[in-house]
Amino acid sequence: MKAPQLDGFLDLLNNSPNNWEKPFKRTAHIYSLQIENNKWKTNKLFELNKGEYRRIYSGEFIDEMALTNLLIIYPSATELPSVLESLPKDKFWYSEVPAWRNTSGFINKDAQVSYQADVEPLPKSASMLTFHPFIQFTEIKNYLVVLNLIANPIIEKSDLYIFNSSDCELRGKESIYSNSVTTIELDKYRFKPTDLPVFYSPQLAGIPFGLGISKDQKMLSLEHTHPPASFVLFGDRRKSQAIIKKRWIERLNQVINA
Amino acid sequence: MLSSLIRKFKFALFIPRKITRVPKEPENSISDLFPIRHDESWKTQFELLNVPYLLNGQSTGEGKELFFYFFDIDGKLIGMEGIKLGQNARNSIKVPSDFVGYEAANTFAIFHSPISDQNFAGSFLAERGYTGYEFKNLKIKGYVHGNLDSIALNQKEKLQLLGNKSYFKRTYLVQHVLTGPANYDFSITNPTNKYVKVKIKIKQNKKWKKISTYKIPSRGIRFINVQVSSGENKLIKLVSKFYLGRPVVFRTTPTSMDVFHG
Repeated sequence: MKAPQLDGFLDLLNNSPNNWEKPFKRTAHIYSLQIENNKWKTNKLFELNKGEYRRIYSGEFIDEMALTNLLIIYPSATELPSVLESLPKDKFWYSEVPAWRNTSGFINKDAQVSYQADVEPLPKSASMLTFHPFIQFTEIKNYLVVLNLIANPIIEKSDLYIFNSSDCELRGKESIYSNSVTTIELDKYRFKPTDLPVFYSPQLAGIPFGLGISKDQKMLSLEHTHPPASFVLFGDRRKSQAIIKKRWIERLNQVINA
Repeated sequence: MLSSLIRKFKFALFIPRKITRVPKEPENSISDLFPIRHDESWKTQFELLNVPYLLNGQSTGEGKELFFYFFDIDGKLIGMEGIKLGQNARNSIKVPSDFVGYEAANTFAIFHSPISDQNFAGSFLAERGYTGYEFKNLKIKGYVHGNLDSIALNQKEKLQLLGNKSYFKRTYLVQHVLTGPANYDFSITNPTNKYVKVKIKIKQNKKWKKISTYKIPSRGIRFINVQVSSGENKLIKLVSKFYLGRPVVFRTTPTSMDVFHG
């Protein structure tokens, strides 16, 4: 991922997180995937032997990321064709307990912020509802970063509505894009420290992150925001998420359609 | 076919029970065990939301009291404090300094009271929210969300640990390459009802070396410090009977801080 004034990084480590669950013991072919002429164009970057580590930076892929701010990195056990109609389905770096992740994040000359990356393609048509409780208010610029990845190699625009949750006041509307990283400035929406912003996209799901950059750019902050299912555990979480989303979306749609 | 059978056998061997227990009663409330960093270098702040109302499509409303439970480094309950939320959707709580008498606390849990008749497809209300950590008065905090379904509280105010542990030791490689120059602190909490021994190994220059062993009591927490010099890369792995002993990782340099789940 790439964000304004920041370089993105990805740490690739060909080493399974546990010692018992189908460890991947082969050399991985590391590919980048980008959209070109409505296809996924593959580009083999390098090979990574078992146990090897390598960090890559978004600055190495300026042209490839110019349109979407996103570069898909795919570790494969086999060589890929040069063009794909859809994202590959095989998962080679894969485990369940815990899920195999790689560290990704943003970096500048003074600081870096990380999260455990690895995303699976999202449904082509789905909604997103998320709350952001950690906007900060001193000497900082706040952003919402929305990452979308779908299997089809298309870039489509969708609406993201921004509300204050307590009274469902519509504070604004932004555009987000499929197979892209969209960075949205939040400070212009003038949320207060006691407010809980809520973000709703009726047609495009995504992984949202709260990003903070100190005004002197010496300190960064990054964490993903939660979907409503995070408020419950066990039972049928898909169903419980649907119940919670329905309650919120009914209220928010009333405001959008008013 | 054979590989599928082997996989199932390994799961039966290593994960014979669920990673976390389901609470005994449907009205139970669940919380993570959130690490507290509170000294001359660190401050901790929790972003408290009105979870019962959020489930109902609102972010504010007067409900029952919610409770903060504070535990020391060995998991001993120090005490609890009730809070009633008002009209703010977001409540930034400094932990432990917004409370009196909890300076020795090293973890905390938060238990919300469900609104009457809330039914969510058999799911339990959970607090897995965001803790902000401020390092050396840097201007902004690093945030990390709760990730361990650790502990439940029932209607009789009895606590139940939800973590299971296995019969066999397992290795967990923290999925982050330690890069220097930086100081790393790994916080590990024990969400099981028994003590767990955790062996820490570090890989540098292609060799694994055991650096320490910790015996963490139930509900206890330990911080593991690893220094990484400029140009160095290290890996860290935890050998224990935890099903999922993922630590919270604090990476600091003299002028910056990063916190995330490892």
